[in-house]
Amino acid sequence: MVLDDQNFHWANLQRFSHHFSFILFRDNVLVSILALIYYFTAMKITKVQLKDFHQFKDVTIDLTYPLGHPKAGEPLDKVCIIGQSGTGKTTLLKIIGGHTFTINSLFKEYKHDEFSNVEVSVKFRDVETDISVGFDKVDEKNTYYVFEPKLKKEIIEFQKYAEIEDDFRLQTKTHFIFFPADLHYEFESSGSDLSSKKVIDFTNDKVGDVWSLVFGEIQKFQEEEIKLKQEIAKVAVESNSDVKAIQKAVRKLEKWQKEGENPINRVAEKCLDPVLRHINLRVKRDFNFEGKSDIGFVKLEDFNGNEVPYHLLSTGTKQILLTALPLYLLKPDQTLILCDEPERSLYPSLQKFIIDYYISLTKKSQFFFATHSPIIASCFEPWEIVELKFNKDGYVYQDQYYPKGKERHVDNYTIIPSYLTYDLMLSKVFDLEETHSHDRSEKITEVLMLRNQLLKFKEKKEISSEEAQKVYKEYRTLAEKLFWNFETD
Amino acid sequence: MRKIEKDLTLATAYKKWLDGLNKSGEEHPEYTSNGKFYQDIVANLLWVQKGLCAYTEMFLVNVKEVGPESWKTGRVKDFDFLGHLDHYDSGLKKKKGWEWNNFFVVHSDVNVKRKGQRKPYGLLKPDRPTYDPFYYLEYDYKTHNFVPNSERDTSLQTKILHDINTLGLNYKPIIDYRREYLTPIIDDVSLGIMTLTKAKERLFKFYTAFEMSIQSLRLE
Repeated sequence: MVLDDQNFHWANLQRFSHHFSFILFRDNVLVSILALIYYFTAMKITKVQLKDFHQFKDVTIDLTYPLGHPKAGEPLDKVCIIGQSGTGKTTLLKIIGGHTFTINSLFKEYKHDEFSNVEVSVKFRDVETDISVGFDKVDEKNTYYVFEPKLKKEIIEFQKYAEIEDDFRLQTKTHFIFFPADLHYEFESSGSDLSSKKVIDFTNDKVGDVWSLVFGEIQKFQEEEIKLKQEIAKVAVESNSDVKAIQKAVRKLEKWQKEGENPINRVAEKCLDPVLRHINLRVKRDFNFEGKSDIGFVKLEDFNGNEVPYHLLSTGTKQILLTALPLYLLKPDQTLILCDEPERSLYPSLQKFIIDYYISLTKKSQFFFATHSPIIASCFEPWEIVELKFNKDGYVYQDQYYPKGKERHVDNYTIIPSYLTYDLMLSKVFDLEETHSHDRSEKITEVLMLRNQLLKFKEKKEISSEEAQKVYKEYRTLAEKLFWNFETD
Repeated sequence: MRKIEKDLTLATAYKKWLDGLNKSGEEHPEYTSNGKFYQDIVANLLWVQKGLCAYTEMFLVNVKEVGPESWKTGRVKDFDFLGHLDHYDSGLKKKKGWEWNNFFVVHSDVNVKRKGQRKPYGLLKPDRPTYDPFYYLEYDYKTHNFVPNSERDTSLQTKILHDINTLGLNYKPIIDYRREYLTPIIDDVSLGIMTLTKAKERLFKFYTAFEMSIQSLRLE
């Protein structure tokens, strides 16, 4: 779009930005910039283009559903980024986060002008636009460039874009959540009110602060209980002979206990217990309410009712608590959620469970996971997996799961994680050629040889011979150690 | 593992040098992959091995690249190949490190990860005059494993088993390649989609496994 008076709206631009420029070259073509703003709302990512950024050269990552899918062209709801160490999984997460929200922590490792060749395409409602980020050296602030926003594929004026963006921003609560791989296992609150934050980056924000979102409710619940108990005591003192009055007060308490929603129970039932039961723990629901520490943070107990103090919780348990609680309590709705290494310290059965579980705690959100785990990756459709690989020159490219030259259509995908065993996930997706040990290979050959020997004994009607029985014993012993799993190996 | 007729007819410069060395009874110079005739040895071997790994029959090079037209005065032109030069008997490496009869070009992982310094009995030496894969081996089509021929006596089977493992015939990634390559072809033959003649024309590796499978599945 060429800049002219009609599509440039000074007033709106000023509302969003302290700095602006009007034109720049994009793909060597002079285009107008409709706005450069400091703040973006919840939006879904549809594409990332890395023309020249460290190990990435001319990489375009399509993050929409492929042709033939009921949601073809719409942003993916969940994305799994995999790749060898150093291919840039975390970098990609940070680029996505950094290009859509003003989070300097995501960019701190990079020189700001490095991003000039990176573009992120986003969509919210029916609006689509490309975003680039620059750095204002005078102000030392990031500036965000919005290119040619479109509404239902038609280029729109900036004012219109700003209106939609404004409205969308007002109607969405938490826009962005980032869980870094090095999540701090701290339960203490810093006193920060996360409920009013649009952008939550747990690199800096404390996960312990999410508890304050339910802490007030717990206090209220506690006060109400005390009040009702005091009422019973008062009736009992003032009219100790009036049994009916005392019974009435007791019934009131019981009714409240039955009908009133205990916030701890809610957190237990709807968030934590479904996942904690995998590790034989549950939320402790009974409290004495004697001090603030009783409700300072969620408490866990084993199935025998023994409380497990924080310092004795495993790192896996802490990982679950510190990820699940924010997702439940912040109530993400149309939120962009980035999670680096969700598998950390989790046993395979839990890894298998958590992706769907995390998604179930949110609404209409877009998730990006970066992982090394084949179990996590197996929870995704092939078009939801972004596999980064080094080429022979040391640059990174995206490995596609459909043949070169064919269109990105659901029917053309040749690697479908849900069809694969974990062995095949490792060899076909994670490029691990040796999916079992040399010992196993050799023992399989041996067990097949022994079985053939037994078949020969049978053929010669010598299966009952001493020699055959000796071979049979050897065969059974070895076959059992291989769990009889060599026929289809 | 096919039988290999190991004619030393292309690397004539190397042959002349080796003959002279052996005639004088001298110890061979230290073996190194930077040796003067290294590429020539590899190229001549790949020519007689039909471009395949001598043990596993994995594809290593288009055989045309090492054919007679790539040679001049007994030396080969530069070429790229996948694989390693293996000393079948690693014990000969020190004193007879350049001995033609002890060389094979093999898949690099088989050389590095399986064979290494392990010593085979020599039953499965592909250039041994009496070597016949059908005498020593069977192919288990269900698992795509080579196994000792069950017609042989058990003590010989044990030795064959050792050589199968030492030469990496059932190295897991090789099994996977074999399965993925052979199954669709043999399936097409089984279903009558493709004739056996056509299948044989299409084949460019894993010949022994194919022939043995066809035999055991009675598709001939």
